[in-house]
Amino acid sequence: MTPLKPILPYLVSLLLWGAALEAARLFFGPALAPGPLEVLKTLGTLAYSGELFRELGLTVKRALYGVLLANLAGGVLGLLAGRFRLVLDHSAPLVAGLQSCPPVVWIALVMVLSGTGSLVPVATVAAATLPFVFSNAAQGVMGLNRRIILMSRLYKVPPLRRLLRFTLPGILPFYLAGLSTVLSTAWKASAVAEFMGSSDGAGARIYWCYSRLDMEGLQAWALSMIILGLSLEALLITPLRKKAAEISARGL
Amino acid sequence: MELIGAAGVKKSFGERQVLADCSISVKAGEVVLLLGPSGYGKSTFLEILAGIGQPDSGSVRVQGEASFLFQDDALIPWLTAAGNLSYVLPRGWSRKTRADGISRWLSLFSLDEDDKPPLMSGGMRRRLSLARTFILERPVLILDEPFAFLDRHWHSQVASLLNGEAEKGRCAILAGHSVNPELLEECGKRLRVLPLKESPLSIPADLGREADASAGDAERPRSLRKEGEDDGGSG
Repeated sequence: MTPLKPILPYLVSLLLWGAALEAARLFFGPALAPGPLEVLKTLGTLAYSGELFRELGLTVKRALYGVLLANLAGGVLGLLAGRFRLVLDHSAPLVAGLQSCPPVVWIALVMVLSGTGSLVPVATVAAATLPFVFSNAAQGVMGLNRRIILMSRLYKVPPLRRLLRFTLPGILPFYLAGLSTVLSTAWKASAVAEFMGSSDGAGARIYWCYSRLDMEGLQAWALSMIILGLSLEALLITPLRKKAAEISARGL
Repeated sequence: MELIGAAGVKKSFGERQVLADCSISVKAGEVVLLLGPSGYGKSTFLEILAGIGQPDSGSVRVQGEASFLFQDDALIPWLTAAGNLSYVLPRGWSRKTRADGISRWLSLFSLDEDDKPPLMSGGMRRRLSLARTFILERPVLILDEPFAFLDRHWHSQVASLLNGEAEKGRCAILAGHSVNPELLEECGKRLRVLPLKESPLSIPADLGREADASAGDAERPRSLRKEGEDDGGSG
């Protein structure tokens, strides 16, 4: 295997992206469709000034706060729903309702109640991801082998040992698999909410570029978000999925 | 001394009655085989005796604690064979006692300590499950189809272990579909066979009690054997 082989698909994608920009430039003209070199130059300027990392960091931070809130509410409710049928029966319609609600509803509602700011993306991410966290936590608990629970009671297995060797390894794969899905969508929901309801963050920067018709800036922010998405996938989401599969096979 | 006593146990699941009226008494040193076809409620009755199922009515008394062999093994798939045994050991056991116990029972059942249940054959999983049942050395053994998935060599080994436990003053009650020749041979007079012919399951008090003079006569259960029942497929 040549050293280039692992990065070859990325290079091909980059070339295709450059070709698409060039084609758009020829079709729309340079004012509306800047070429790849101009976009890369703008991206470099944003990175050099620190603005790129500050704004992307803010978007990711808000997404993480939203996911944290969703985990606190949806995770606890999901665990209880998995354990107690009554909680599941009574909370499932509400969670299904949340799941069918498009994020734009949350953005509009929070903007009316709190104005623009960090709360809009945080609350939007929390509301959009809570149903996933809930259902994965509930499925994790419901997937625990009932016979092993009975066996543990019969042999009076100490609670901590039961938690570490049976319950957590049984639930965590579901939870981590769900978390990886949640994380991969959370930062995108955060950026959309910033676009509509915040004055800072990468989503808001895209809005400013759009409103001023700064097409080089718009393309640079778009490219930065693609890179962010790929980086999160490689550094966080894929390892989480691997960990979930590992726990499923080997335990904690 | 009676180690297991049950009287008038009844159980239904919804409209379906599974246990009509079951009474039994098992004394120290006895091995009792509940003999009947699938779906007769043997497992339900054993679960109630073990305390992991609740009867609708009737009473159950178990002297000391019971070990239970689950029909479906109930092994933790991500733990190794050693891990599955270690999981049930009491906190009070020293590290050495635990290690010795695990090593002894794995060795007795020819199991590798690092093997995990999903990679084991049905017979290996059953042996691991049996090892977990025996390792605690509880006075009462309740075994749901202990011979399922095992070949004749292991039938003899398990029957011999059961006889050894009974000799130590413990007792065992098992469920199976046929009389196992190895069990007859190993346990001899200690073995009492209760042929179950009714569904919902009914064990009258006089059948469930140990008969006096002829109790455990090995010739009696032998007569229950039919052609082809000793071919290693009994459960």
